[in-house]
Amino acid sequence: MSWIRSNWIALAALVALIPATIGLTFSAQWLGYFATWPSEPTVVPVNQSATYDTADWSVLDATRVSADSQEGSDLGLPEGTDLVSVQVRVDPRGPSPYCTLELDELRDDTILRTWNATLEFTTAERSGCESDYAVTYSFETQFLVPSDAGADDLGLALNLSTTDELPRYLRLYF
Amino acid sequence: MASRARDLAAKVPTKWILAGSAALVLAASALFGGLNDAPADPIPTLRPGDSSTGTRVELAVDRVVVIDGFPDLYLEPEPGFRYLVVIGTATNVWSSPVPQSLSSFGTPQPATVVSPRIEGLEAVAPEEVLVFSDATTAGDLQPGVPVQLAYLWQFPAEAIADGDEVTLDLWDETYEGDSLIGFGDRFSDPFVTATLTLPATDSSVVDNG
Amino acid sequence: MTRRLLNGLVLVALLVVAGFVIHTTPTDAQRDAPIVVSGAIGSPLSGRNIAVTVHEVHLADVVSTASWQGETEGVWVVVDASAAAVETENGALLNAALVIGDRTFSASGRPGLDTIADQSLAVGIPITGPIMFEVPVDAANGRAELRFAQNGDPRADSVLAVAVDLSGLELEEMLTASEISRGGS
Repeated sequence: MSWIRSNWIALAALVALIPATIGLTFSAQWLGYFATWPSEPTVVPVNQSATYDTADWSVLDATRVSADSQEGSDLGLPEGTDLVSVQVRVDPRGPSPYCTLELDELRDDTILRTWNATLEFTTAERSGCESDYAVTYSFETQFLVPSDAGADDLGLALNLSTTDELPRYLRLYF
Repeated sequence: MASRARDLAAKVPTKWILAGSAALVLAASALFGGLNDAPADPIPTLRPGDSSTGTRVELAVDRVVVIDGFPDLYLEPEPGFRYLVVIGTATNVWSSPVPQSLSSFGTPQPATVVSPRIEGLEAVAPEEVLVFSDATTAGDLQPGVPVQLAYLWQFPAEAIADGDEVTLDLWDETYEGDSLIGFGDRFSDPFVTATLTLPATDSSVVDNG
Repeated sequence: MTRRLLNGLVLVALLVVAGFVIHTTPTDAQRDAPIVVSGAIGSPLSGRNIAVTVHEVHLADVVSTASWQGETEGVWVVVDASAAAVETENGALLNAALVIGDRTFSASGRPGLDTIADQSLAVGIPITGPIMFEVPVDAANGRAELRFAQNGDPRADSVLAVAVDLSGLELEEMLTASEISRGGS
């Protein structure tokens, strides 16, 4: 007991320093990791628009073509796949930014699988973002996914990010 | 007895002790040839067809060819330059693949095996290494599988004529153990382990077996 | 006296604990070791970000594809497999190796685009086709192990391992490798 009383300052310092050290070490390792890839989503429900970086973004239209359908076999889609096409409208509030596009498969807020955009079946004039545009424009981005993507209780959403805004990104439902 | 020895030792000046030890070391060094650099073994000169066996690759050079280019392969040198082609059979004598061309990631480094001695040659590493039988870029040499390869360098066109003797350096490296950072084996900077001189053949068409 | 004995015992106890910790601390190699998932030919194998099913294995002296024909001083081991990525397409390439005894062989790039080795993998959409290995004649018998990963760095990620018995295979003079196809389940 007397030992505690005579050393209480040191013990109090320990109580303060140990959690501080652990906290600092963890944040030094992990903050940098999370800051450089899209890890903070801003959810944009269907038919709504959001301001992100120097533009307003909204989904105009989305379609899904199965390989089994006539259109799918005309396009030459591989067996067991679907082609998801999402049209996005961009209203620049300054010079429009370039963006990275991915398709996320989600269970509530957890991302299960992610697909990168494909240019293999592109027919639209613009297939992605344009940088430094000052006027409203739209683009159509496409993803080749297995037929079971987003099935049952799973959802699909467009993951849109610009390098300046990372780790924040837009999760656009369609 | 001990106390007298101690007293005596205390009286000997330190610089005598230091000088004495130094003299002892020098005397001992005479036993193994002195402190000068050992004379290096001369680098052996090979004859065409001989193999040079290194740590990872064994190479037997067959011939050297100078050629304007390989239009079918879209391989053309800069204007005023031609290709020097060293054709030989390479065998991986290590237990894992040995790269002969630089990958798009830049690692692992291809093993340097042979290079020509040409005035003003920019780099020891060949510009291209091709598998002779199908003219594809040589990737990894597989353990125990001999492959005929063509090593290419660009050189100023007038520097080598048909029949001129070309000297080749054959290289080796030393295994240094595992990587300290990352993974994989580490090897020391390559060093010349043999040389070979043979005449270059001017060829307007290399016959692709 | 008791105090000294107590100190001595504590010291011995600490030394024993220290010795135990030193001996059980993972080495760098153990910490970085890949997570191996094993299976047989025909079974679908799945790791963190790579899923592979090996269909067939052949031995041949010469292999030909739509745009290439390859000879070797050794023997060709041709593996027919399907591969896909599992959760993300970033950095997912099919890296295939064949281990025979204490020697490791890498997939040949000589067939160019006619092999699925080193090609990008798509999430949930398998690519099916051949992977070729050149091995010395004396190695083309006995047990071997195919190892698949999503890139050349094996550390702390999944490796899918399939055992193959090369001695049961017939050496074909000329093999026409299958064409690459995408999709299917």
